Amino acid sequence: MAYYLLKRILSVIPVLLGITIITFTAIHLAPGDPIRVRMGQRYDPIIADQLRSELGLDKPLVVQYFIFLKDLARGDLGFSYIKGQPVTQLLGDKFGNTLYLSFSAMVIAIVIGMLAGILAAIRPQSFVDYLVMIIAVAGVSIPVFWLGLMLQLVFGSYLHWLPVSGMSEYGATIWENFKHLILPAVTLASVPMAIIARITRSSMLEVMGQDYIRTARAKGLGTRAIIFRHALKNALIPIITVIGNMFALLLTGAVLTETVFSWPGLGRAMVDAIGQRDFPIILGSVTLFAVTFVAVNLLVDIVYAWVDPRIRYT
Amino acid sequence: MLRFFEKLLRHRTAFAGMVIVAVFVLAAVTAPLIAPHSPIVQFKWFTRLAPSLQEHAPPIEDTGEVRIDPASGQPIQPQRFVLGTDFHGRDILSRIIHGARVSLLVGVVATLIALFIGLVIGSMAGYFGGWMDNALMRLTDTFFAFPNILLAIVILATFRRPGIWALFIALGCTGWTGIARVIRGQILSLKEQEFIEAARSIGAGNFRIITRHLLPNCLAPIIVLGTLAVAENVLSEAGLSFLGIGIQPPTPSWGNMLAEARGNLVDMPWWGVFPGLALALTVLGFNLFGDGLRDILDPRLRIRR
Repeated sequence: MAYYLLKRILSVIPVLLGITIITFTAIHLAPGDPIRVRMGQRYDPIIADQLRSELGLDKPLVVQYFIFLKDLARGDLGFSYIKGQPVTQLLGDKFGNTLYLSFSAMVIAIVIGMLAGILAAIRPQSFVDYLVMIIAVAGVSIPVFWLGLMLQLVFGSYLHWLPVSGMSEYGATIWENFKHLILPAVTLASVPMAIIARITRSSMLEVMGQDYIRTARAKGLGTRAIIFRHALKNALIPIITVIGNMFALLLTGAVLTETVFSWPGLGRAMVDAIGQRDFPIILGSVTLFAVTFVAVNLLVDIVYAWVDPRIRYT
Repeated sequence: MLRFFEKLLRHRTAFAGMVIVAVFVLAAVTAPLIAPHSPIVQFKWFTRLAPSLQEHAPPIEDTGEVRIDPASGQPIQPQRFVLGTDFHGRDILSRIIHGARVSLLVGVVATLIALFIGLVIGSMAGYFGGWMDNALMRLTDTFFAFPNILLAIVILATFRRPGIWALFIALGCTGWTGIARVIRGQILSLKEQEFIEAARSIGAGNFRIITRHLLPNCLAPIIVLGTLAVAENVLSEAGLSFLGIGIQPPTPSWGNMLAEARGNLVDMPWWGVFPGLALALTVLGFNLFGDGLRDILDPRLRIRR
């Protein structure tokens, strides 16, 4: 297990390096001079050159990249070109908000998705099964941002049950906070929920056909005990893998969901920064996204190896 | 081949998917012929109209006569807008029909680019093995380890003027990883078989073996993955256009229509409901069709995803 852990953790390094290289090159190839954007009407070539050397933008690209890496290792993501504040400070809270939204969505997706999948698998070809499968196919096909807009329209504008956008103010009650969370979280959960339901169903169906389930049934166990104690445990392995992959979808969806619901998160900060050509913010948010994503996948792989000992030895 | 179509007809969801896809493809191809109006003309006397099958009467002057359009000097004609008009008086149905062109074009071209990259990388990694396999698969892992749309956003940020070409490249260069992995796996298992040895023994070169003997045997997964990739790319295009970094207005795209409609949904829900519905239906069509093709062509693939 220790060997597997070490190998898996080391394999993360080239991936992270690769992502920073791709992002760094792409962003620095981009047209549009950030200094010009920052100075706007008061553009002055002498001050611009001064600013450029201050920010290190006059050095060769490779040197700039290594400076970026060196700073990154110390947890320093540089300063925003536009606002002049440290990127870590600007993105810190937003990163927290994105994680809060994503994990809430993940919980909703796992709980409802797995329940729906189990229900469908208990009676294959039944009405419930068809219903769950239809909703699952629709779930992956409905664009998250459109779903978000429609939920806003129905639950916010027509029914006035829930706030349409934003996050609750600091110090608001838990209930208030929850009310702001529910629509974006459900929107974001839609795709992973559908996929988890599908995988749970097929994985459960496969397990339910095994001999040991027949044995459990033969010794007189109730349906509930069979499903939760015998079948689900063994059906979990493929589900855990998918949940790891789901996180990519969640972060992707987060960019769109945050825009629809004006949720002050990382995704929206990134899209805004692209409009302003604020390179450190773009680089910083992409790096944060990548680190989170790689970390979650690492965690899932470790859990996976722990649950299924066969993985460690291959 | 005949048996394939027979199975396709019998597979109910695949058939439904195919019909949906066919309808949208037809709409996209014949857009200028079937769209009742131009997608960008603003009928300024007919703004913010709700969907209706009735013709809308032109504005009437106090004198009881039809108002004269100052631009043309002619009386304003009555017009019909089945799905209503937007804030600027543009016909939503026509914009949706023309939007299908953009969506499907981006979906298909981006998929073709991704297929090309995925096939080249996957077949080289699988066929040559060794260090090349290692290097190419690490590259694939790096791209795979990152949500497609984020990478596409980064690539789009490098374009001075985002548009359809930028989308082709951004989506094509990010969507190939799954294809590369599957093709590599297929080639790994195929290359040890006798017919490859036979081809080599009669003097076929590597390029010929890959393109003539190995890849044709990977056709089933290529078709399935390609169909599902179109669905994904159509969704991504809409998402990116919604964020304002994809197709730029006034060119209609379902994504940028939704972005425009966003602030007006309470007053004009039809502006946002219909483009989204078209988008969801198209994606559903490709997903159903792709899933069905997978059942028919390659049941082994069903375990994945």
